[in-house]
Amino acid sequence: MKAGVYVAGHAKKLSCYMSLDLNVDRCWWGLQQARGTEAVFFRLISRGMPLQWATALAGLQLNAHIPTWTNSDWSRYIRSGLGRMLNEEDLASFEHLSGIVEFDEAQDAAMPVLGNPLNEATASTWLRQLHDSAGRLIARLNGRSLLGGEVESMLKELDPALEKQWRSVAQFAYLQGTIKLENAVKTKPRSVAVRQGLKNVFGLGSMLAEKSAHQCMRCGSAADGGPCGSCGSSDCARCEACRALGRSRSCEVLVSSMQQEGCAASDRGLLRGQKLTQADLRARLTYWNLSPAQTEASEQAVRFLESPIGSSRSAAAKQMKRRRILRIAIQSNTQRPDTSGYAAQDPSSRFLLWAVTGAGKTEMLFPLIEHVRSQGGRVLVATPRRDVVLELAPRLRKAFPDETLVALYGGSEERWRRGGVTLATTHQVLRFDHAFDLVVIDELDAFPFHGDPMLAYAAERCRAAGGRTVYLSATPPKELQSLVRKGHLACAKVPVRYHRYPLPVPMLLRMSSLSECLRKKRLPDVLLRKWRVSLERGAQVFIFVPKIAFAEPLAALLRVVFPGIAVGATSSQDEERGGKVSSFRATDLRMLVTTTILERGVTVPRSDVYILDADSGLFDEASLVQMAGRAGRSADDPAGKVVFAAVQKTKAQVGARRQIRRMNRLARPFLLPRHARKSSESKR
Amino acid sequence: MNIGALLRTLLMPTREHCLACGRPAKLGIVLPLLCERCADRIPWIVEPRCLICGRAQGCPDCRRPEAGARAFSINRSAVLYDATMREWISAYKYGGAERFAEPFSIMLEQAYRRMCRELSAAGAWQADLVTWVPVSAERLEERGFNQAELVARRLAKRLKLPACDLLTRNVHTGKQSFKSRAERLRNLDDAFSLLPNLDPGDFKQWEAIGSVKHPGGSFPIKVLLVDDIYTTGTTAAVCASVLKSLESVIDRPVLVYSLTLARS
Repeated sequence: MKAGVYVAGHAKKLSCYMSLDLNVDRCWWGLQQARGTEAVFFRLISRGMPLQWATALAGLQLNAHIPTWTNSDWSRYIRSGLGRMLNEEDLASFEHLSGIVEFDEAQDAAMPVLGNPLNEATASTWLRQLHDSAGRLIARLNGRSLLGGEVESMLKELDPALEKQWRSVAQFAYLQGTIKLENAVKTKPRSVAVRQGLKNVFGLGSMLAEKSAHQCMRCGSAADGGPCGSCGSSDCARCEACRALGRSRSCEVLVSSMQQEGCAASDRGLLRGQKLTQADLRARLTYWNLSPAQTEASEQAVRFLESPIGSSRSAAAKQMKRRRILRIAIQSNTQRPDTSGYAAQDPSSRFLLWAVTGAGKTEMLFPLIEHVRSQGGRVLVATPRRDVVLELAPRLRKAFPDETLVALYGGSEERWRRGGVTLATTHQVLRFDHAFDLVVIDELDAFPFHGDPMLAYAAERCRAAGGRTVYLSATPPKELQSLVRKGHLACAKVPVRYHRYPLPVPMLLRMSSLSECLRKKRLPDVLLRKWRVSLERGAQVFIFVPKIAFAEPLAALLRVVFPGIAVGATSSQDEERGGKVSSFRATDLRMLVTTTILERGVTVPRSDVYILDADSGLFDEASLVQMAGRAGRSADDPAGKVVFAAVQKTKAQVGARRQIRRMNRLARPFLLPRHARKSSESKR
Repeated sequence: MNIGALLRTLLMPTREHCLACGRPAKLGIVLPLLCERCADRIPWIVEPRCLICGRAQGCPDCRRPEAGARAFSINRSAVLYDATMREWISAYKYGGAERFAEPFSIMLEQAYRRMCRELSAAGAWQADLVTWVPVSAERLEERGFNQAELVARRLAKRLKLPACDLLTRNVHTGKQSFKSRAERLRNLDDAFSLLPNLDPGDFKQWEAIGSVKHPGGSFPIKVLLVDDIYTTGTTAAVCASVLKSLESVIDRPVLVYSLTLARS
């Protein structure tokens, strides 16, 4: 896409502007001239140059004696303004691409309304219309940050009258200073120091020095430049990482509302309102009907939201800061921070809610959402998967009947709507910029959120300045755990399930490897005996295997061993996964062989869990804890059985069992009286 | 970060993600940027059934009487247009996955080599230059690239053939994929023409190349016309007939061979 560039302003204060629609600018400056006392200077530089150049030039200040400049002066000025951005450009095509207009032409195209009362009237009517439209556009945008194409499709759906002239409207809002127009992928010359340093240390300098770096403003990923038919530049980068949400490229415009103008309550200092008294808080929490452990954790979390940021800063934090700078220097450009990295940089605005599987995390969120909403703040709940969004949306709607809740996921009908509470898949978060006062990241350690720097970046960007982040997890990543241990990150643990029975502790079992079993078509007797017991007591049997290839053969073998028992197998590649899970839940299937795909989010009332080949590298401690968490979730059958069967005992298995035991120990004060006694006896 | 972790990041190869399925895997075993599993899903056309349009099944289109008048000699396609290819091609064209140009051009190269073998039965055959089906200025502005040009240029580079921009699309006809057969046929009349101010130097160059190969004799210029999808062959036929009009400019017979990525 191309954009116009011109210089305008009053005598002593001239600066460059970019334009999506030069007519708007002509009227705008013309009216300024007609109405003001000071003379307005306006000089068109280019009707259309690559958008990334225009945005780079926009905002540059000029000194006053430019009326005498010739074309070559302008060309020189633009070159120096763009500087390193032109490194990859073919210099021969610069003149053509920059589209610098001849002097006469620039005069003709100056301000049409000068001195002509009729024109002045039309211009001011038009601008008044644009003013109203701009107000609507800003209301629609409301914390979003959208590509030009996305703006178009949003308006097509919500406000078709605006769609046709959105560029004019956006240009008007840009002149007003109510929206920000950027190019979606920024070109950043690498810092000389970093380059020099890397060159000296690793000899990588030659690799890095040549190409300029591009970074997508939406998702933060690095992008590669190349020739583009849309703007004509030969160094126009497209972001591959976030292409599922529309193409972000150097010459695409990214429209976002101005941050200062933001509707975020925390910007206005709302969240630092008066503190709730202990009694009030308790009263609110009892409304939600939480268990004692849930209440305690929620209380801590609400107190965290109330406390001003930075109060927990201490000498330790200062020391951390120094270490952080060092770390960033080492990481350089090649490695981007993930969630733990961001948390380490700024721990005081974050809170970890570490709740065991089946603790009732969603219910604990209700008081937090209520707290922020009652002060006019905006809430985002981001979860890794679409199914979770679909499952949570009705629950949140029921809990907050007066709120407008918007559920966002790929293909969602409510794609462009906005509400007080937004429930979204992590990818949808990329469309927001400084929009939320409370960001809740559900299942922090799950795919795809975990280990994806792009989504971690999105979760940071969508938060308003002064906003808070709450992480939810049953198995937080190691780095966060260590931040909690060192006391940098605030944390509340919920060690007990909502039904107040302890977690089933996994039993380690030795067996020959699964591939061998399948080859010999014989399963170990110990396992068969256990399965028979499970089936007889009426439990549903979950069997986890590390590889998709094992699932179907094992199910076939089980059908032979247990005639008359319905056995199913599923995996990520199974189209009928949803159907199989629901028939397993309805006990039409009694045994389900699955991969880690069902390790979280699935609740089957009366179930026993068997993990075969538990020593596989694909099962880490977190996923073992999650799979074990499928057992004993309902109050009717809290004592499900969990078995880790493997050739050898691994660190992950031992660690998972230790984690579960530790949580059970912490849970003791909350357990139902009978169990509290029992578990302390068993420990002895 | 401790020393161990630092060493690990330096020594460990970063695992790349497959362009098609997004999973981290070893790439480039069969085709660049694709994992082996995805590459195995490609529905290659190994043996064309229809010798005119290169279709792998029997082809009623080419038996229609008006088919004989089509201006291109033959068409060959690398793959069938099945669900997999539909997904990939639309990711490439509309989804911004421009890196598909690399594997696609290699797929085209394989189809081209097969075409050479086939046509070389009556003496060595080789195309003289590569050109492509153009897109309208409007579409180019929207998409940022011409999907056919991108693969054609890479193909030409690999084959060491000259790549020439010869055609232009006059009217924006809308997407062919939304139209019925009859509409497609009507739609494309006058849609293409030769680029204005073609460089005569280029033609001289072909002359020179041609005369070396065929000293003294007359020879046709063999143009390879590249596109992404061949459905009814109308686009190829219209473009070929426009390319035929080059005959009067360069005073040589022009033969057009169509090479497309997918055959639906």
